[in-house]
Amino acid sequence: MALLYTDEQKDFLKMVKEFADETLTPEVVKECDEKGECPEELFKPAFDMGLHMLEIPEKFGGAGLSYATTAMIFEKLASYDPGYAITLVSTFVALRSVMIAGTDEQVQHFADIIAPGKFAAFALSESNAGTDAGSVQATATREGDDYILNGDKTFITNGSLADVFVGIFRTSDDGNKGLSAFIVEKSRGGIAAGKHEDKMGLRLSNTTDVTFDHVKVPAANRIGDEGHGLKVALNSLNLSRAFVATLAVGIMQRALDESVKYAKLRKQFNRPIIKFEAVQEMLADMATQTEASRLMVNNTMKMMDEGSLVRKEGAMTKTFVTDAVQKATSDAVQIFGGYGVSKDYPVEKLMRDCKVFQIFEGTNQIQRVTIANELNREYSD
Amino acid sequence: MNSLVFIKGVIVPTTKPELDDQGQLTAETSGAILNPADKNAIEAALQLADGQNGTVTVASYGSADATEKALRAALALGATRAVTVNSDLLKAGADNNSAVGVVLAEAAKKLGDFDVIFTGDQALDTPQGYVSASIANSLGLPYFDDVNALNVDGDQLSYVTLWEKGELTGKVQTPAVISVTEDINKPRLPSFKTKMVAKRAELETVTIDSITVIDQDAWNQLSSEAPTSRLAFIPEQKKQAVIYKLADDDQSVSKLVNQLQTQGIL
Repeated sequence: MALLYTDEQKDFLKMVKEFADETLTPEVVKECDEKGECPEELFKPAFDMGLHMLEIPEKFGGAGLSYATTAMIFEKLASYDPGYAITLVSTFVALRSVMIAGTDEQVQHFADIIAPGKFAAFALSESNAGTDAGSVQATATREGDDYILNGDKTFITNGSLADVFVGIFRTSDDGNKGLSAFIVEKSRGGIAAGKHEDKMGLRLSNTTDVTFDHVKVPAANRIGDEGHGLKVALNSLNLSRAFVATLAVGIMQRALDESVKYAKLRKQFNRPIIKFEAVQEMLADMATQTEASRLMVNNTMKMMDEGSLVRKEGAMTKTFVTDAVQKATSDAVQIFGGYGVSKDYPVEKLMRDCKVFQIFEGTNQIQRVTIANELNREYSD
Repeated sequence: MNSLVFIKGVIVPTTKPELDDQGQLTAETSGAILNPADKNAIEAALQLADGQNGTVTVASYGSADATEKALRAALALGATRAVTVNSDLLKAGADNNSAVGVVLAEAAKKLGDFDVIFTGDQALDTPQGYVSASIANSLGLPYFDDVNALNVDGDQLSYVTLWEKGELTGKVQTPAVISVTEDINKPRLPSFKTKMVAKRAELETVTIDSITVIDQDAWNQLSSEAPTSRLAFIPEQKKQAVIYKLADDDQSVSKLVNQLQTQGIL
């Protein structure tokens, strides 16, 4: 692989491989995929290892790893099952979003909830507020020292698992400036999750609607100033874009691994199919795209480690990698031929798992708008 | 419960070992790793400590690099204290496992009172498995080897130990020395957080410059013995057959026993 890993990173990758070989066996992954279930007990060993708080500073109970190292670990985990990986990513990204705009007390409070082994969720999307995040309708109404939260959120990762949410609610009618972010503990009552979405891919990942019905939270739970909610959401999305890209690299690497192994074994016309140029072309492109994607993710992560908001780079990375993974997984199915579409072989799942990566965390269409806007800004002088 | 676990950093061959001209086995090796059976010993100690405010002290004696790697790996698993054992007493015979056991026993005495002293049943690089027996013997503590299951039972520990004809079960009053097999438990994986903390944790040092746990003559004799394990070619022994046909069977048997005793076989 093109990345140069430190001894410590190699050691961490060995740890996560050992963990995943044991926890995410092909049988377990297949069963969760078939049933579309997210068994909570499957995450206990991940919590014990602290996989949900890798890049959180030690003072808040995390391991204090860099984004770059965390991304390497999650790429590896995603090669086993990206749905499992995204459950953990969503948990720490929610905490990260508190860190971006909240106080140390808020961060510590949030971290104390998830550190012992609890899930968190980021609740932004609504049925009519997807790409257009500014059109959130769920409300937060001030009552003395409290806010009362009402509304329905849609497609919430970890929706029925989370013990704590970061939710974006409308505090005034002032368009994008009328949104505010809140920490919402499930223990406050009034929070109900809908059914686990029956999705085409990432079926292990828990995705539900979440209803907030007169949920009372203290004003101390508001993250940042009133009216700054969209900024909290967008900054958080910058970060999670780079992380979903790393998961997509994991899927690509898996597609490559499976395809090369199969192409060496499968014989047609008395030759392994890896000897045929048409197959070689697909494999070579897959390997090249995987390396390029990995390097792009790594560079973005390093920029984040330096404190950059990666507005443009996060969007570029997400777009490039999650477009590339579509072709890589489709070619993997192609190389497997008829077996490729069989659920008894591993590659059709990769194709199903990766589609949503072009959609969530901002569609790849809106990413291109963001990239162009940033270019416009850069070239304005 | 408070436990002390003696652990070892072992060098693992990464290629098939071959004999060199000197009759020594050589192979390419990796860096030192924590001896696999010692992970089980640490896990057994952690399980005794879990939820009871117990402590798990790990200590290691050997080359500086191997020792540090083993100790930091143990801290990453959750050990509460890590100690490097230094001693110049065994310069010429660091592989003399009985003598190493005495040095470790001396270290245990210096490190405090422990309910259990654990070891793995054997080290990957010197698979003889009698350091723990030597520790127990030196400290005058009860010793249970190849323990395959261990549970707290009131103020005692119930154990299952393996031997060639099956299992032995029993109870032991602490303090005791216990060596565990790799089947006793499934060692936990380190957490990323403890791994990071372990990286920069301070390692204590205990220096053993004299032996008090056994008498001096015994120590002098033990420590002057040649190393008991070497990666060396073992010359083929000449076979010899002797038949004693004396006046009667009793005399023949007596002569045979005498001969076997002389050769140190009986």
